[in-house]
Amino acid sequence: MEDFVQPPFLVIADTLFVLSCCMLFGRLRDFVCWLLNPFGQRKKGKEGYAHIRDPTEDFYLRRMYGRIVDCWNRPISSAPDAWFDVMDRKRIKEPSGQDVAEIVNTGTSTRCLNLASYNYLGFAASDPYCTPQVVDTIGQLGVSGCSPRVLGGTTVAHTELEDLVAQYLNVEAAITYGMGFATNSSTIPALVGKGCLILSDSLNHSSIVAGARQSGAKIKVFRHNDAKHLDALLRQSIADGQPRSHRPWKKVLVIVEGVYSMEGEACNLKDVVAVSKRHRAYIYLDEAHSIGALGGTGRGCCEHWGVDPRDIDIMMGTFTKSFGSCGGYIAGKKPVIDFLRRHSPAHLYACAMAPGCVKQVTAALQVVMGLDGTGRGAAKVQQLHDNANYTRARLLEMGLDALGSWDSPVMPIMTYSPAKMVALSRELLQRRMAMVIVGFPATPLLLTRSRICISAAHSREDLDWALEQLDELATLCNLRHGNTALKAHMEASLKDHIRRHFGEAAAAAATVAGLANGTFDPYSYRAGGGKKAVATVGGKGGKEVQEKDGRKHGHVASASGQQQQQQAAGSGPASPQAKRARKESSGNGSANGNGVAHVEPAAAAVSAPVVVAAANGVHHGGAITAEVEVQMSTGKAGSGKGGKAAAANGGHVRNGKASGVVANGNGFHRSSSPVANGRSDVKAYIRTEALVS
Amino acid sequence: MRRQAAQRLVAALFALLALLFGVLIVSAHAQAAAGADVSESVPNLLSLAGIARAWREFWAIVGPGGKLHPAYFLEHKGHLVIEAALIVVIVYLALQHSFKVHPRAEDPLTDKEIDQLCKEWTPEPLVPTLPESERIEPTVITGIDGPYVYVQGRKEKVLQMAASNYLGMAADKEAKDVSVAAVDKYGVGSCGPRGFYGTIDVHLELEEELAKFYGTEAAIIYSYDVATVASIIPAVTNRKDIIVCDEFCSYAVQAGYTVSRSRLRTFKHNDVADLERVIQELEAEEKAKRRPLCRKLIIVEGIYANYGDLAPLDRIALIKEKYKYRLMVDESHAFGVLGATGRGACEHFGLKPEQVDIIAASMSHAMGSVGGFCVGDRTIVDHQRLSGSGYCFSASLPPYLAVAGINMLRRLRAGTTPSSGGSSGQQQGDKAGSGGAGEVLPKLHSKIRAFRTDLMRGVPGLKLYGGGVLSPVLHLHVAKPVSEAADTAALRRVAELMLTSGCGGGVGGVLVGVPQYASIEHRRPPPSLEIFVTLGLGDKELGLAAGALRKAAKEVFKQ
Ligand SMILES: Cc1ncc(COP(=O)(O)O)c(C=O)c1O
Repeated sequence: MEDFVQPPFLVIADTLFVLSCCMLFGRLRDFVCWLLNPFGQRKKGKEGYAHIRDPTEDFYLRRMYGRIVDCWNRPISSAPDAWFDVMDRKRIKEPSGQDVAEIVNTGTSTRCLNLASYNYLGFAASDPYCTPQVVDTIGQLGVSGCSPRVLGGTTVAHTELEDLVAQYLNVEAAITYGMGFATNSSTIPALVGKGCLILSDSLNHSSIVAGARQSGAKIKVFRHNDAKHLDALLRQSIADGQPRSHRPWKKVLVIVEGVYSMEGEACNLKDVVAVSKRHRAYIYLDEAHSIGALGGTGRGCCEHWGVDPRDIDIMMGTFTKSFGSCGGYIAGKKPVIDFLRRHSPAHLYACAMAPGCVKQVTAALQVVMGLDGTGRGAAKVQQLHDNANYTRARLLEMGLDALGSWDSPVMPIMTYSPAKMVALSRELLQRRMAMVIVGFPATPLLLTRSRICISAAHSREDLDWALEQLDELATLCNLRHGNTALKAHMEASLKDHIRRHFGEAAAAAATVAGLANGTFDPYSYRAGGGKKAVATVGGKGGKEVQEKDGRKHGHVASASGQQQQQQAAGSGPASPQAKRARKESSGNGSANGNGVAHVEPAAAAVSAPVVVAAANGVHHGGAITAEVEVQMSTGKAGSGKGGKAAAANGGHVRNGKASGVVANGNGFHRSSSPVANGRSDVKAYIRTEALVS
Repeated sequence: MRRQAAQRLVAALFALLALLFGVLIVSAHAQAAAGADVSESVPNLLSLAGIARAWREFWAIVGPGGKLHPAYFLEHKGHLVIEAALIVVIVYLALQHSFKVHPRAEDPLTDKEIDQLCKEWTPEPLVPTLPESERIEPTVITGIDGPYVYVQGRKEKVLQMAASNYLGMAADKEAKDVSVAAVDKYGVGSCGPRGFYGTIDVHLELEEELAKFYGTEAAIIYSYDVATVASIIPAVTNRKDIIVCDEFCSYAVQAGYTVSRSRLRTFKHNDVADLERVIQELEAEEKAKRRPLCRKLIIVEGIYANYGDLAPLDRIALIKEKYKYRLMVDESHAFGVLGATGRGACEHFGLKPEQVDIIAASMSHAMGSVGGFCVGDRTIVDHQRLSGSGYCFSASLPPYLAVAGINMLRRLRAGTTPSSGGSSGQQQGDKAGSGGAGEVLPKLHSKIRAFRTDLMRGVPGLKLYGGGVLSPVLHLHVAKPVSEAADTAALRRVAELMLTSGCGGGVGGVLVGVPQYASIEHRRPPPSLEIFVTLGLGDKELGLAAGALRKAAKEVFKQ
């Protein structure tokens, strides 16, 4: 990938010019400040103590980072779902002062399309299957175990999850930790130490670096995703032995990531495994971003490339991304896991993962594996890939430098110049889109980028709307670099990707343009010619609402206090509401292509999709509390399952005894459908607290 | 090697210049000779006048205005020659890759040899085989009920004394309710690091509450307890800096200083005189080597997690101020337990918040949540927001855990005004939990004292570390240690007996832990039986626990 992302000469010149101006003016301002007030002003550290921050770093923070702090750490006030509330902030101190500018929340928030969170499978918001279980678990096992796993922190939830993870990954055993970062930083030192060699990809995550440093092993870095370089390094290192003593290495550990979080690129796993196996090096695969996201059934990088998971010595992954929880796991052979249970510091000393979080992962995994009795999990994975590939293809068609592998939900858009990156971020937020930008020091100075994280919760309309905006911004920020080499590479890799997953016939027809304009649908080449399973898991675009209502808070802006019911039989009239309702219900079950939800045996208890919009007094500021009683009536036979309670922005919904529905009030698009357990009437009490400005 | 190369270079330069000069002189002389009067013979160097003449002639050529004077030389395009010479030298240098003088290198390995070596190499297995005795199945908890838990394979509830749920917040009704509400609203995970839209309003609220609680400028939260200290230390120190650390500090601290790679010194546990000695040595060294001022940090734990005793913070604070070191205190077990308002060991020893530079603590003990936090002045906290690796590069704390934290702090704080009666929700025992910090903490303290005093009266074969200190973490060591393995096995047997031998009254046993330590620990604490005293335990429960402990210990140690 790196070969294709050379910033154009003009951009380099421009960037360097801008940065030197920034520096010059920064120094000048510091000088003037000093002239105006030679004593004091600059907050002196305590006498006799060295500054916590060194002076150069301090200068960059105040004078450069200080200008653009508003692009990061933006707080949100809702679940990080497909749409979320980004809190509005304002700067109260100009960066001319001596400290980093201070930003305060204004108390209001804006509903934005979430292209930032690692919510790949859409488990971030409350889910009709997962959330009730989490709630039960908190009731049963408490908020926290307050104890390490080895003392009194192991609960049934933990053992259940560990078994399930092992089963999911098709390995012998697994162990879980309360934090992905700590999983890496404490497992690596437990496995390797002095006299061992770690070969680490140059773009590995900071947690891996922390773990490698703690281990005391010798660390060598190979070029990103370059199996040849890895091979060369391995050969030379093994031949040379340990530095100075030239004794043979005790063990060699190759550490790679499944999907690189800043590149969106899947690891070249097949080659890495081949090289490592040839040299008898152990492989440590960090699947933080790939588990749940890559592979036809979400089983990660191994499935994506068709590598046997048993060839990977240590499979690591986190639950913070696809599964919408926290924590991490290590999976592998039984002796390895047993050893870690005895010697991994995070297992021995750290507080056990909170039971609620554990349950969330278990439930999400069950959905992904189809153990919940629906095809929802498979649909989610497919929707994610579909969304990701569509978006990537459209971005490439627009002429943007969008990197990353096909199917990968992470896609950086190269902006090269830091100034453009910042402009893009601010402009995006203005247009109600939240996207991450990354620059130096996380990336090289000239390779700053903006990053999209696709979710299965995004609907096609969401993405179309976002892409339209991005198209305008690409012109505004001059982001079309006309990178033909990248385009050609992506074109070739698409063919390769489609060949591996859909066969030769599909590969012949595959083009980026076809993917972008919808003329090429890989799923139509699958045996049985199955259409895309999912119309949408997510919901409707904010833009649509915006146009309709001309309001900022799109999702609050649905009918006020109104209840609308639609029979969702296939023959139902095609009013827009009905269409939407059907679409949403189809997201929950397996559905066919024509928008008619079809019934699965498991979902025998059916109720017609009921769309209830509970939103009152949208315009008046302040908190509004609305108690709405919702009736969900059963539909006739053959209709899709799932009623729907859509509460207003930021509200939360709790039902009565009925079925543990927790429908998060994220507006229409959340398909939090209660499974009505065969009851004809479900009374859900929706309490909506909408904070509307 | 580099020095050698430089010397050679200078020598070469001199030689070159000398050569040049020689050539020039000869050529100039030839020129001069050609233009000179033929009749003027060579001066007679044997006479004084001859010498004088020779000198004059020589000076005419070499002195100012003379043809061999450098100025003349330069004026007549001579600079070109010098420049050319310099260019030659530069080109010569540029063509040399570096100044490296290649030692007579052995021939590099051929591909074939490398292949052979690679083939011969056999790695050790990824992990050593674990002895059967070290494979321990932890007790699996199936339900929690105030200070009791239900464990797998047993019907009766057992007393939970293996969890540091000091204020009973983890199983508290209100805490559960607010957590559930937060799960409804925010979902479970935050799905992003703090910088990338993973900051949720409740995180900011918790940070605010923490800062308010401690009376410091700012607070920062981390999503895991061991990552907290391990991130803070490398953020505030690096290779050039100094860390002085108590030898009994726990793994998180060790991980932190290892990653920071700073210069580390340890001092004898709780020995302030030794601390001063170490610092004096360091200072002397700094002075001798004339090193610039660097960041210096003393790290101690308020209550030592692996020993259960308190650090003498009052005296450490004096040393710290005397030598201008920063002080970092890990208050994990002391927060919410010690001090009049529950701020921890610093408050217990009467230190003002500004006397301690960095206070870090886990949220998974008294707070009944998960995660960690750090409070301090704004510079230190803001610095971590950019340099704390566990903060920047990890998903933020699940919002409902933050909400549980906020709930705990509010109630602890409200407790300081006795009018409030926030219930700690003890369904069991003596309703000890009602009331705020004002009555809650003294109650907890009296329980700790009572239980410690009870155990100090003697437990067969075991010895309580730290005696009567006010610490809810109790470590009982084997009185006559044999070996690490044997002691651990014995202690484990005690724990097992305590769990399985019913105590009557519907209580199936007492769950206590035997901590294990990783092989990578720099210094492993002795085997111990770890017991936590929590607020939920009434007199009756404490009595049961002490009884069960004595009974089990008696059986194991046969006294
Ligand atoms: C590759 C990799 N490993 C580990 C982690 C850390 O995971 P967590 O956020 O659960 O601490 C991340 C998170 O960003 C990651 O990208």
